[in-house]
Amino acid sequence: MRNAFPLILQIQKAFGAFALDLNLALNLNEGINALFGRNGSGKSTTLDCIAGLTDPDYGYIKMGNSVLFASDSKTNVPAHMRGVRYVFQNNLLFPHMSVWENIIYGLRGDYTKPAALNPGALVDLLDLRELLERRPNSLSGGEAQRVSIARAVAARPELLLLDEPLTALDSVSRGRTLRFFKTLRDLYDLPIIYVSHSLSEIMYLTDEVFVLENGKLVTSGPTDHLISKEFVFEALDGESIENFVEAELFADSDATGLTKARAKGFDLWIPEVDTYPSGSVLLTFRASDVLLSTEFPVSLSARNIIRGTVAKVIDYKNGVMVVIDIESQLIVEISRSASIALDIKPGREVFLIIKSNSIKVLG
Amino acid sequence: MHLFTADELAVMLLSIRVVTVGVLIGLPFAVGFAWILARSNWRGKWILDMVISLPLVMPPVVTGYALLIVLGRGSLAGAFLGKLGIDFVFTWGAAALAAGLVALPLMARTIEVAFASVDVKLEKTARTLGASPSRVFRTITIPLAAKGILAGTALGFARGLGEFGATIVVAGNIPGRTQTLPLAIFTQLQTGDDLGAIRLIALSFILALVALIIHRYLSVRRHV
Repeated sequence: MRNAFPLILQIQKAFGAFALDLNLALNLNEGINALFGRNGSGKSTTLDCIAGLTDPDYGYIKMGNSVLFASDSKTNVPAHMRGVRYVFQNNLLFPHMSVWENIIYGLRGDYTKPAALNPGALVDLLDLRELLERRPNSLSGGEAQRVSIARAVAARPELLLLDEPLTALDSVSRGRTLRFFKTLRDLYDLPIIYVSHSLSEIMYLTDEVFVLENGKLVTSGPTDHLISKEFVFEALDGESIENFVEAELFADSDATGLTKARAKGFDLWIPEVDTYPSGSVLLTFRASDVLLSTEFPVSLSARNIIRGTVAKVIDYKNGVMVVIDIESQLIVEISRSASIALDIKPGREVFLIIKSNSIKVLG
Repeated sequence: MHLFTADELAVMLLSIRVVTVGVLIGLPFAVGFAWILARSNWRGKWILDMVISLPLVMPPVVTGYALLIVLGRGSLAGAFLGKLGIDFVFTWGAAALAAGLVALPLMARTIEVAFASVDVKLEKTARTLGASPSRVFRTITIPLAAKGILAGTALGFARGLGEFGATIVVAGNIPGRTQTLPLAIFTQLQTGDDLGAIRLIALSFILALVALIIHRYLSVRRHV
């Protein structure tokens, strides 16, 4: 068990019309920290500065007790001495090496000693056993990204940077990878900074969020609080909002072809799942695929009706985002006229109507 | 039945030895210059860029003369070598150096392109996995550019085989010692032995063809 340690950045960097001017204090190992913001807000540049791939023009970076960069004292610890591992949006596997050679590239010394994150354990955890002899160019996008994650983690990170690691993946790979990151956090308390412009991923995975805009820190705070802030939705660039829900499968499929799953605070009928023998699944559905009703609907074809309370109503483009409290929070997108007609406002009891077919099982 | 005489084969073997040694001496410099040109960025880089290309565009005789001045008995380096009992000028070693020098620009250019085609992001990724710059160079850059480096070497070899002007100035035309294929052909033509010249030209042609086929084979892009 590691102790939490701070990462302090006070950096300025200009290129062309863009200027990064950041003052950040992250408490690493207290869950996953997120950098959130639209494309071009300076997220990746910030990570590059932390990793030592780019030098700030001015300022300092301090991790724990060690100064990684300081323009005053001309300190600049080389990238390979920082212990900071980096997973990029594109997997960037070494094409001339096998999967296994890629995974052990960052290992030095005796890695056969038992360790929670030795390569063998990672290979099993990420389900890579069958791929070890293969070359990167024969892998699917999801497989390749899992290998690059294993490679970064096997190199014993003091800090793991994840830069939009799911962007290039299909939805099943996204789900598996998200769950793996959560495992990393929960079981191995590996300090992680997660960069994304997907609100859904941030909400599912991270505990503390730092919101960047035009190279500056706009706000920061616990992820739970973030959702009720208007600017968050402005930063979305029209991305469709998804709800991620973790659920336990607790019954076999019934004769009707649906499977029942229990999430935190409510049950869901989901499309038939037969490949998962037991345990938990990650479900996702779009905020715009949910209907709201102020009365309990009867004689309805949709299988899922969930009672909740409106926590917050946020104007967003042509519609409104309604944040619903159940035990966790779900987001529902409805039109403004519907919001007015139903008199949706905080504190109001509502029923969420979700078709089983609009729920995707991410594995 | 022997297609070529022992003397002719001896000339060919000397040529191969001279060019092989010359290219092997030139290769580390070509790799170094290529890396600097492909991966660094500084104010005076264009000067280096031009200097490296000089042996490609200057008359080889001038290149040979420059070598003679630098390494000849009158020079500092030549005097130093002389004290060690090494007389460099007019030896096969001088011929090798001349071949390496004229081959250098072609090798450096080809290898520069090979380095430039290696994704910098792969190198950066390796750095974040804890690899020092020299380990990145050895395990990422060189292997990914290997084909281009070999192709450049083959091209340099082909160029070195044809080297005449610089060689005759700095190494002379001494049969059995510094007389490489082009010099032998020249001599045969001078003495009116056209048939002998043609036989040596055939030998030259075979060697050059082999080098060019190797270069061509390595230059065709395939997946790693």
